[in-house]
Order: sequence, then structure tokens, then C-alpha cells
Amino acid sequence: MSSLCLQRLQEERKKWRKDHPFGFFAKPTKKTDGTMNLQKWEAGIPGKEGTLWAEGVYPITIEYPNEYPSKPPKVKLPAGFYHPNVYPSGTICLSILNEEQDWRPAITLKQICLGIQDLLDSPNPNSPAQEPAWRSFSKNKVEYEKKVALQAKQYAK
Amino acid sequence: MNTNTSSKEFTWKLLKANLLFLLKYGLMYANNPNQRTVLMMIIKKLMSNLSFLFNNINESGSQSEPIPNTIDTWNNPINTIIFLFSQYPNNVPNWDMVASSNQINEIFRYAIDSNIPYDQLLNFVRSSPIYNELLLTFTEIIVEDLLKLQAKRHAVTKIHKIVHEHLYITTTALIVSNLSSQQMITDDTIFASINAWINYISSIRHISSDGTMDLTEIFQKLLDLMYHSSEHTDKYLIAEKVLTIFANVFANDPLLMSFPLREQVEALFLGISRSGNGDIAQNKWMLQYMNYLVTNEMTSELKDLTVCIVDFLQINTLDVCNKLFTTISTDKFSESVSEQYIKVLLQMTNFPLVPVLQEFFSVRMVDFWLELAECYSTLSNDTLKSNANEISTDIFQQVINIYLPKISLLNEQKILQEDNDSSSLHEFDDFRKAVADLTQTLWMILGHANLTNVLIIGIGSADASTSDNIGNLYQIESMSYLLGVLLADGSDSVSPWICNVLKQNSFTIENNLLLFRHSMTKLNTNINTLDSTLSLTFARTSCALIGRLAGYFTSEPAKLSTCLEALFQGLETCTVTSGSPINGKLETIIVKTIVQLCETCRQQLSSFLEHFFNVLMSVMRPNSNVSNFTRSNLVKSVGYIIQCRVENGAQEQGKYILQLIDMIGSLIENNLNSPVLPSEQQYDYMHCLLDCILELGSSMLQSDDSENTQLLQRLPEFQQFWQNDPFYIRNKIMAMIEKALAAPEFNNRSGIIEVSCLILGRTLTVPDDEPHFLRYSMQEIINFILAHIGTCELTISLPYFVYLLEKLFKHFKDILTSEDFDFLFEKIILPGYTQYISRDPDLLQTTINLLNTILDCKPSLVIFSKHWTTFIFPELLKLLSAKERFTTIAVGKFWTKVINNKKYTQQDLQVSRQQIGAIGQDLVYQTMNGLYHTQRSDLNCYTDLIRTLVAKFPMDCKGWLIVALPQVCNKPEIHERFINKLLVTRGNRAASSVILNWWLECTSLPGY
Repeated sequence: MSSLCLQRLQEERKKWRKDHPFGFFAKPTKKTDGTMNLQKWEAGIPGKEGTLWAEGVYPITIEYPNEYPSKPPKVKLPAGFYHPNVYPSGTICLSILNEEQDWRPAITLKQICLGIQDLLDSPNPNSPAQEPAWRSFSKNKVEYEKKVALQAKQYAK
Repeated sequence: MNTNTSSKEFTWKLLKANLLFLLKYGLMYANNPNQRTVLMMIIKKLMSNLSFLFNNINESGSQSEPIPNTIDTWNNPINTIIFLFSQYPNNVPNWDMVASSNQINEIFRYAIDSNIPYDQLLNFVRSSPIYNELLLTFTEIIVEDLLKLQAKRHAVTKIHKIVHEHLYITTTALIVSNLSSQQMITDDTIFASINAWINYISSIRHISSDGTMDLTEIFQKLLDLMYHSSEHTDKYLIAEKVLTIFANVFANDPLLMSFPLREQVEALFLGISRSGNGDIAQNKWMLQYMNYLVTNEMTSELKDLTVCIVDFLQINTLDVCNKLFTTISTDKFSESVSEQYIKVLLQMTNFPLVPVLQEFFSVRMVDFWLELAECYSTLSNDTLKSNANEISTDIFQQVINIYLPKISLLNEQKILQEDNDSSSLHEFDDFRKAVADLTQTLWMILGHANLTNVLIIGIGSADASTSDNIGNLYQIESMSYLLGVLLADGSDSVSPWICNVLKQNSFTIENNLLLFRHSMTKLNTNINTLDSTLSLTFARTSCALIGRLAGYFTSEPAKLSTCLEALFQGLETCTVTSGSPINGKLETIIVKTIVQLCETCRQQLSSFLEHFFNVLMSVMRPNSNVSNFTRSNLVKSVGYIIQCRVENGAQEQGKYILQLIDMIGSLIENNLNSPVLPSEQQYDYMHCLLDCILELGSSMLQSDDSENTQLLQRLPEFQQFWQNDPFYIRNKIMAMIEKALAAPEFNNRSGIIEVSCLILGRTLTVPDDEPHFLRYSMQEIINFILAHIGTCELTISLPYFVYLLEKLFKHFKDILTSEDFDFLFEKIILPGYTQYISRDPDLLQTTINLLNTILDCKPSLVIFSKHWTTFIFPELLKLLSAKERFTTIAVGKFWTKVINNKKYTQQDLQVSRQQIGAIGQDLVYQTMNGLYHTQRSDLNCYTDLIRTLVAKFPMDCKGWLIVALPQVCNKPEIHERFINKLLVTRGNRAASSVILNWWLECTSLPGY
């Protein structure tokens, strides 16, 4: 890991501990020897209150490349996660996480987490990443909402 | 104002005009202080203009030949202003005079270069508080604007040196004189100015090569001011403002403050001086201030103070850690001082009020302890003191002991009682999570012996049910919460060592269950929001721990039984009435815990199977209040237990499955025969019943980690049994599905079709030798699809049937032939292609994906199909120009796989090359035409295909491109260049940028 990457990740961690939105959690994972792995984080995104997603806290993994912050982290929900903008592998399709789109080195972990929370209830129909959820979202809202509600129970707080 | 001018004459003119009007409005303000709001708005704008000019003039640099009526440098705008105010104390010349009079022009020019002695500066600011305010505001605006320019990456290089050499000196004198004279601190101007300068110096000190501008004198004055602020003098108003400034420094750039000053701050804040140089008597002031804040319930101010102190402490974490635990340091930090220092920090953490509601020391100190623990964990063993282990254990155990009562739900209760705003509750919740994180980190140091075991002993050493003290329950909750977090951090199984400690503390499980029962008892009574919120947390903590102890229960069936009994009673309690959101949440928590226990302890729960069946009978009924989530999860739980019931042979296992399937079957039957028209609820119920079959199927799969040796020994018997299926379970399930799909009210519901297809395809991803009650044959699945493709609405059902087909092709690829493919293609795709599929991008994508799947697993099935070159090729060539991104991505992949496929046999490859050779010209034209008309973000859909074409057909490709490109657009030179460059790449990565450039050039769009 480059020193820039390490320094920035330490800063991100400090910032997050001091100020993060309610209901979210984010922490570096541990390596097998018990030491902290700053390049791979686990985090939880609570569904927004008043939405179908509210009941759950959705686990994500955040992997920072060596080139971070020049390159964005790779953020994944569990494989098979039901959402129009989440690939079957769980990779999240969000412009601020795309190097060729809106990623900027100044984007913080907090902004990423809030961006994902927003995306949950406001899918982007122009960036479909999986067929089942995208199809239901665009053609059968009732079915879509039922599945989202069921998924929320699976990830209930 | 547009200061971006290359004309120096014009810049000079602008500068004079802005100075003149600043002078004019400044005097106006001095004469009419009550007009402050309006006048300051204009004055600030003029100052901002001048600060831009200050930067522009200095950054543009001096000419070798001086130009008349211009200036090359402007060192000190503050001196200029003082000079001009002194020159024109009452009347300001008008603009015409300034523009035309040489004499006035000279005065302004002199003002630019003027040098104001220190005494003159002091006399000037003392002559009028308004002049003082104007100077402070001006210097603040200049540095703020410089920072903005820096952030926008303007060329800002020389200016910092000029600021350092001139403006910084004047400003320091100005600020220090203000801080030395209390009368001059009338409003926030001085503090705003100090803050702006701190931010400026902090930001540029890493990029400027001219050294750091020292702030010691200002900080010292601030410290003195704070120390003399009191309840009697100013009600600690100045102290608050100074602390805000210090908080900013400690949070963002603590090293701006020199070490000797930080020694003073340490003594003042903590009453201890690690170096011995601080005046610890000053801590009395801090204690008085804290007392004042607490007495007057000034929670917000106390929080600000906390943040400031803890940020300050974190500057020294590494140093403290080294001195506490290692032999590295040899300075005056003796054992006794270190003990005293930690004692103070522990006392601060244990601030005797309710966290979040009344105090924040305990909340913020979590970060400090976490950092200290992490520092300690990374220390090299060689450097550790011989008793470092004892010291760390002692300190961190005290930390845990302090936090246990702090995170107690008693405090949450107080917050709920006192504060209507949910934000405090949220903050408390975050505090608990932060302490949980800290506990996980401390485990690295304390280990099971000093942490996990201590918590277990704390929970389970005595029977809490005999105590009337409700406080015990809250203590148990805190400990259970942290224990649950610790156990979640490890693997699924609980270590034998922990199991032993659990056994020795026999009340651990019972006491934890008390929390759960307490929660349920509360729910049974008519409770308010406060109680229900607490009850939910109690239940959540209890269930989390039960779930995480599942591994332990495998060796303690009696405890497992107690837990399950309590959980089922709880489930009953919270489903007696429906509709309450709290009940709904509890139901979910309980059911998830039951599933967790059943999955891990399936073997031990074998004898409970009858009990589970009885519960299932009750909850599966449509009038039961439980949710569909609970129904399907309970079926899954029962499935886990049935899955390991192998000791009495396949017959017995089959009977249990039959019993469940019969129960579900009769409920489906009842639902279908319901006299009333199906409502949404009935549809959901029907979907749930089918989903239960699917869940049962999933739970019967062998999990990787729970290898059932008994099953392995009797594998042939079970395989034979499920192959024969003597109870006709598969037929029964198929009949249920058939009935559901035959009902017009259900057969067009995507959910029903989807779950039916999932049931049929459940074992298609499971190895053939694994016995399973849902193992349908290829023919059965094909028959199912063919039977329903015509009766279900194609636009809704096709994706699900195709998913099933994809799995089928993958699983049975070795026995399927291209004739089979043709048959299925003719029956499933072709009949609805023109009318439905070709008009719907989703269905087109589904169809193309089916072909892609087959190309991935056994391409010969399609390339020898009679529809391959006659129907599929022409259709998919057309689709290369489709507008829908989904379609073009799929079709791009299709052609790429057709051209380059690792699964091709030699024969496949030969045939495929001939096929491509025959349509190559058209393929290249359609690809380039599609590429030309697509949008930039979709170029990738075509790039891989073109690269593959170039790599696999380099010779032909050139000719195809020469013919195709003029038909796409008439730009021969661009095409020629493109073809040459593209062929040089041979399809490597560089081809992507060649393609992009061609697209940009042809569409005349700019590259960026």
C-alpha cells in the first residue's frame, strides 16, 4: 500500500469515528494475524426511514486499491443482492464509485455510504446491473416492493 | 470584479478605485456605527476585491523595465489602509480627483509601499474600535481569499512569501494587541480573524518553502485569556471562544501549537504534567469551569470542551503508549506520573453523569482508548517493559468496567424519559456500537482470559431470577451485548475453552434468557413507546447472544431446549396480535434466531421434530398471525432437522418430507378452492406456500461444513430412494405447481411463475450424486416448460422459463444435442419471437443471454442448429444497431463468443470460422454502424467485439472495413487512418483508444 493510500485511509477512519451518520457502521477488517486491514472494510448501510428498505442494515465490503484515492474503492453488497443497480456479484453500480464517471479523490467514506443509502431507495433506471430487480422495478412495482420488503427482513437490524 | 486583466495600468486603476471606496465607506461607518450591517456588506466586498488584487499584483511579478502608472508589488495592504486613513481622516477625495491629480496619485502610490511602525499601528487601532474592526476584518478576508485561490489551484506561489514577510507580522501585532487589551475584545471579529489565520497557516505550511509562520505568541495570549475568564468576569464567554479555536487546532493541525505550549495545556486540562514543566495548579481553573457547565446544565458547551480535550489527548497517544508500555523512553515520565496520568484519563472516562444526555467524556474517550489499544497492539515485543502485559491488562480492564454501566440501557431509559428528540437516542446507540468496537479491539490485548471469561462470569455466576434488583438485569444486558459482539467476531463454532467457562457459569444462558423473558413480559402488558423501545433492545441483545452461542448448544442440548422453548413462547407472544411494528420486528429477530439454532444444532434437535411439526401446523394456517417470512423460515428450520435424520434410513426421512409436503399441499388446495376471489393477501399466501417448498429444498442440501458421515455411509440407499421416490413427492409437488399455474388468477403472476421455476430447477446446480427430493428429470422439466409457456403470459413468464432452461442446458449439456436445442427453440422462442420478443428489449436480452449461456457451456448445441445461420445470425446482426443498452451489451457478448470461444472443439472452430467468413462483411458493417450511432458511454458494448474480430480475422477484417466504413459515413481519411492503426494493434488493449478516436473524429465530438 502506498503511503498516500495509507495516510488517507487512516484519516478516513479517524473522520468516520468522529462523525458518521446515524445507524451506519464502518470498520477495517482484521487480517488472519489479528492486525487491522485498512484496505478492506466492512460497513453497514441502514435503509432510509420511511422507505421499504428501513427495516434492514445492509452489509457492504469496501476494498481500497493501492492507487486509492486516485482510484475509487470497490464496494460490494452480498452476492445476489436484489437491487436494479447491483450486479449479481454484489458490485454496486454507482457513478461516484466509477473512475471513469464521477469519482473524485476528495469523496469520503461518509459520502460513499450516504450515496449507497440513497441508491437503495432511488435506483437509477439508466444503469441496470441485474435483470430480475431491474425488470420488476420497471415493469412490476408491486412484485419489486414485495421482494425488497422480504430482503429487508433478511437483513433486519 | 474581473481582476484577470493583463493591463497593469488598468489593475492600478482598479486598485486605486477600490482603495478609495474602502476609505470612503470605512469613514462612513466610523461616523455612523449604527449603519454597520449595510456598510459592512459593501466594505467586505471591497476588501475582497482588494485581496484578489493583492494576489494578482504579487503573483504577476515585476517587469525588468518599470512601467509608469503601474505597480509591481504590494507588500502590505494593512499598512496601505492605515496610511490612507491617516492621510484622509475626515474627507475623501472623489474619484475624478484621484484619476486626474498627480499629487493624489502619488499619495496612493506611496500608500502602497508605506511602512507603518508598530507604535503607529497601535495608535491607529486604539484611536477607534471601528478602525480596529476594519483592520481585523481585512486581514481575515485576505487570508480566506488566498485559501480559496489555493483550493482552486490558481497559480499561488509567490504570495505566501510576501504574506509571511509583511502581512503576518502586522497581523500578529494587531491580534496580540487586541488580545492584550480586554476592552478591545468586543465581538467575534478578533476570534474570526485568528481562526482564519490559523486555517491559512495550517494549509500553506506544507506547501510553502518559506517556513512556518509561528503562532506561539497568539496561542499564549489566548491561553492566558482563557485562564482569566471566569463565571464572575464574563461567565466563561471568552473561555468558550478560545476553546473553540483550540478545538479547531487540535482536531485539524495540532502540531501548529508548540510543544512547550502543549505542556501548559496538558497541565491546565488534566492537572498533570508529564514533563514536569506545566503548571498543574492551573487545573483548578478547568475543574471550576467544568463544575460551572455541569451545574448550569450547559450540555452543549460541555460537549465542545470534551471534544477539545480528547482531540488534545490524541495528539500524544503514541507517545503515551511508548512511555507506558515500552522501554524506549528514558525521560522524566516516571512510573508514578504515568499511573497518575492514566488515572486522570480513567476518571475522565468515568465522568459521573448520563452519557450523551449529560456528558460526553465517556463517549469521546472511546476513541482515545481505541487508539491507545491499537498502538499497544502494534508495539514490538522487544521494546515492551517486562510488566507491560500486567499494566495493559489492568488499564484496559478498568476501561471495560467503566464502559459496562455507561452503555447500560438504564441510561437509554433516562434519555428516552428526558429527551423527546430521537437524535440523542441515536447518539446513544452509536455510543454502544463504538464501545462494542472498542471491546473487539481490547480482546486482542485482554484475550478470553481477561475479557470473554470475565463477561461470562459476570452474566452467569449467580441466578439473577432470584434478585429483585432490576439493575441486575440491565447489567446482564450490557455484558451480554458485549459478549455477543465478541463471539460474533470469531468463527461459527464456539471454542471448547469458552464452552467450559460457560458450563462453569451455569446461569449464563438462563440469565440471558431473563432479558428475553423480561422483554416479552413487558410486551404482554400495555406498554408505552419507551418500554417497547427498551423491550426490543433487550430481546435483540438476548437473541443475538443465543444465536452466537449456537455452537455451544451442540454440546448442551438441555440449554438448547430451554432457549428454543423461550423463543417459541416469545414468537407466540408477539404474534398474538398483528400490526404492531415492534411485534413485527421482534418476530423477525426471534425467527432468525430459531433458524440459526436449527441450522447449527440440527443433530441435537432431532428429537424435537414432532414439536416443530406441531408449531408448523399452527403457523402455516392462513388465519395465523405470523408473517410469511416466519412461515418460510420455520419450514427451512424444520428442513435442517429432517436433513440430518438419516440414522433410520431414507424411508423415515421421506416420511417427514411427505408430511410437510402434504400439509403444504392441502393448504394450497384450500387456498385455490377458496370461495372468495383471490385477494393480494391470498396471492401472497400462495406464493409463500410455494416458497416454503423451495426453502425446504434448500435446507435439504448438504452444507459444506456440516458433513453428515451417517449419510455418506448410506449414500446409495438414499440415492436409490429419491430416484424411485416411492411416496411420489415429486409428483405431488408438480401437481401443486400445475394447479397453481392453471388457476387464471395466479398464472400471470410473475412471483408464482418464478418460484415454480426455482423449485423445478433447485437441484440443477447440485451434483448428481447428492440425493434430493426435488431432483426432477430433464424430461420432466422440459415438459413443465412446454406445458406452461403457452398458458402463462409470455411477456411475464419468458425470463423465468429461460432461467430454468439455462440451468437445464448447463446441467444436462452432455446429453443434449443440437436437435434438442432446435426443438426447444422452436417451441419456446420462435412462436412468440415476432409478436413479443423482438418488440421487447428485456425479452430480447433474455433470449440472447440463453444463447450466450449455451455458447459458454457447449457451443456445438447452437452452431450446428438449423436456426443458427438462417434465423439467429440475421436477427442478431440487426440487433447490433439496437438502441437499448441492455440489448447491445448482450448482442456484443454474443458475437464475441461466436468469434472467439475457448469451448470450441476443433470441428466447432472450423465450422464457426466458415460461418463468420460468410457473414463477415455484414457483421463488420452492422458493428461499425451500431458503433457510429451509439452514445459515448455505450462504446464499450462494441469495443470487445471489434478487438476480437481484428485479432481472429486480421486479413479479412481489413477488406471488410474498407467496404463497410464508407457506408457508415463519408470520411475516407479518418477511415483510412483508423484501419491502419487498428490493424497494427492486432486487437490488443490499444485498439480501444483507436476505436474511441475514430468515433470522436467521425462524430466531430471533442475528446476529453
